[in-house]
Amino acid sequence: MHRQIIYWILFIVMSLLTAFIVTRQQSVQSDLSQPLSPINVTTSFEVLPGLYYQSNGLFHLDLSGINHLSLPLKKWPLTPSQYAYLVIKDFHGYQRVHLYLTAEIESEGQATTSYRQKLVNNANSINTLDSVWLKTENLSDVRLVIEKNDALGFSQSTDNQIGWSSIQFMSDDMVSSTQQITAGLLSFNPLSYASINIYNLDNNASFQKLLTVIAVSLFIMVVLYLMLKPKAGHLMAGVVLLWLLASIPYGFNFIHQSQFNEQRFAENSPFLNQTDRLLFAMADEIQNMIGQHATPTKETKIMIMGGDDFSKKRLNFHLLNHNTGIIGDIESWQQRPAESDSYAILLPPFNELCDTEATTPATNSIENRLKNTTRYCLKHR
Amino acid sequence: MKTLFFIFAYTLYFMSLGIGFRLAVIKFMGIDLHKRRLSNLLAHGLFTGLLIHVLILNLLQLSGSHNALVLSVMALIFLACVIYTFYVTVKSGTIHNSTRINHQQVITITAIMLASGVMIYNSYYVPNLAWDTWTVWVARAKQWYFHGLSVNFVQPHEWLKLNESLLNLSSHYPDGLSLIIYPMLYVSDTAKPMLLGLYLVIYGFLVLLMCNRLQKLQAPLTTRLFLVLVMYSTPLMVNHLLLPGYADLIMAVYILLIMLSLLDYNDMPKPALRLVIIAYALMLPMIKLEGWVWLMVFVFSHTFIMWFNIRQRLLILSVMAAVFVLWWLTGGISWDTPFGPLIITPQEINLLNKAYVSFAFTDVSGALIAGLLWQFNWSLLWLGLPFLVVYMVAFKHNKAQQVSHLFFGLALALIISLFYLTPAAKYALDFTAINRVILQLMPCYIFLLFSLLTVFINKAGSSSSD
Repeated sequence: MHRQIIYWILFIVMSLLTAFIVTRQQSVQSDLSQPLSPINVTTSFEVLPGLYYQSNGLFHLDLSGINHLSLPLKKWPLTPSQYAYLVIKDFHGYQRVHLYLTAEIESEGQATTSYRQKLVNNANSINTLDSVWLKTENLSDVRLVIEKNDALGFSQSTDNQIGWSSIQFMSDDMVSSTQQITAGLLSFNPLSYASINIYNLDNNASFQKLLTVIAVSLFIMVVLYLMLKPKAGHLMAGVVLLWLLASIPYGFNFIHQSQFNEQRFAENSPFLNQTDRLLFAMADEIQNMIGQHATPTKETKIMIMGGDDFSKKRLNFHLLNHNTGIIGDIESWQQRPAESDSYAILLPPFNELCDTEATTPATNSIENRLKNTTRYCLKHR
Repeated sequence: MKTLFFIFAYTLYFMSLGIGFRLAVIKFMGIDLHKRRLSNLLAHGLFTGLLIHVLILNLLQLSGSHNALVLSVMALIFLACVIYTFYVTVKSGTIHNSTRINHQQVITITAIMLASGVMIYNSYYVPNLAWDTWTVWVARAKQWYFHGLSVNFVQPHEWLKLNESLLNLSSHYPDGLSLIIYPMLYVSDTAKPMLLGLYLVIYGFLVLLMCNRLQKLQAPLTTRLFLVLVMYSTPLMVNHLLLPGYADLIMAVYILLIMLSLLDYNDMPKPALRLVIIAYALMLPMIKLEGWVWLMVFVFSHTFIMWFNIRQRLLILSVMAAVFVLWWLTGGISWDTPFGPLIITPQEINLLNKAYVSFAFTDVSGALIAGLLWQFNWSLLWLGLPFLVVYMVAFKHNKAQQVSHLFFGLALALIISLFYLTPAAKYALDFTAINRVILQLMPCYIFLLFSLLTVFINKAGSSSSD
């Protein structure tokens, strides 16, 4: 009986010890005798007036037409490299964006390199700036780059605003490592087109620490088990416990993602996004013009000109009831025998070709331009 | 509601097809009916049914039939299966081992359904985002739906010349998954909710089969519930459920099914069970091109273990090693045949211009480590690999287990060396392949880990009670 108690006590103590060692901060060497104070850059951004304003203790940023905030370095007392952390407090709307910290780095005798780090998507975004940032002497053109998370294309009117109470550069004595690791572990990763291939490669520093702790704990547990030989159920319980521990970040994100999806795709539309909805309408219009809405046929070919991208692929999908395909160049359509019935759809920027080619009478005799708008051009031959 | 009804009916259709054909084939060949427990009967019914569905539609494609005719033929076959199953059941009393309602089974099934519910909660509103689903698998089904199942698919340069053919960039892919999706298009154009339902049903029955097998190994209920937890909380596998419609998960299902059937056959070597293994192996190349690779690896593992004793195996290995070294030292062969070049050298392989691969070392270690380790609990599973290797090497196993061990080891080694040595490296580096190929082996790997865990717990349990 007490073998089992000893097993658990030793396991927990040694795991906690591992966790303590792994999460201990490496202190950055500082030449200064007095402690640093945090650099508050909340109001230092260079932004067009009216887009960035304060209300109810929060600074709001209007995202329409903005994707990066420049941070002028001359206002700062010290070089940023003495600060290992960037902390965004009360980060509102973090689900709507991906934030990056970018800079130009000049090192002696070498060309300038670009620095780019993804920031944690969490209500308290605590970011450990990576070693490149910390080692550098000369930083210039520091920016906060904002990418809207509308890769999935369902944007809503409320999506155009984010906010925070403060953005500060901090040194390691101002940030608790527990807070920092928690923020990293519980950072939000929305569903994206890439989800099918990879699960979260950003912000994994915290997870790597957690995994190290878990791996060492697992090893300790097996050793303890072999030495103390408690009942097998205790080993099993330990394994389940470690699995649950590793599942916390995933579980948290899963719940978050579910809420996000429910809100974002509330209308439960069959369309992939707004662009797709427009493409469906376009396909409908094109079929009406061709006049074969009711009876699809294989003889009539519809060629969408240009390379494979989302719009062309989706338009192609919506027109699959005809003999439709995406073709790289318009010449292959023009070289087809004149008697064959075929249509060409040119999406921007290729629809401009419609205007220029119409001037040559030779092609105009067999080619018949049915429609030419800013959205697409439809030709028949 | 319509979706729910469709999924129920569609599952029932596959099960009837699978069970009916099984009974008919057994009767026709005059072999023993192997009675299974009800849950195994239904699960294997579903998985064989999927194969039968794909096979029959593949045959009907050859006849150039119209869609209405295809559907009528399928409906007739379905009816025949239902009637025959009903007839056999009435005649011989039962077609499965009757078991009383088992509390543990009820708990396991409830857990699986609960987990599926959580998946639906996350994915229900999400449109059909999975890129390959609508560009490849659903797109092809949609083309069949509008132009007939026997339509000819070609690549762009041929499409421009031919009048009656349709353009499909994945014309060289096998038809399996699209054929499974095809009937869904009669219900709705996007197929997404139905795909989600079907994937959850398929995955759920696979997890149930795994649990049943572990129960046979005397795993306690807690271990089996832990398996359910692991299967539904491994992020990348879950993502393939949340964004349903990729072929990788289905491939993973059939790879594991082969392993499980092999274990069944090892317990009870009946011809009926051998047929099941062959059926599942047949399904592999019908889902994806890599299926051929898995099939060859499986056939090799199976032959190597089942047909030869240890001394012969060593002999074969040394002959293979000698051929390899000789090939490496002499620089291989390169002939110009009338049909094209036949080159098998350490630099490239070219089989009459039909198959071509060049070798070049690319360091994909970073991508490999990121892929294996930095994706949440997926990584925790790989911590079990050293234990599994020790278990594979240091303990004695029956032949079926040996085959699954050899298969898993070879398959993993093969894909990793392919990523290091061939142009496939680019798919590893951009993460479009590495995780998805490993995903195909994942359920097999998880099952091996749980067998190890079960054996370990049972052994400890029996030694402490001594």
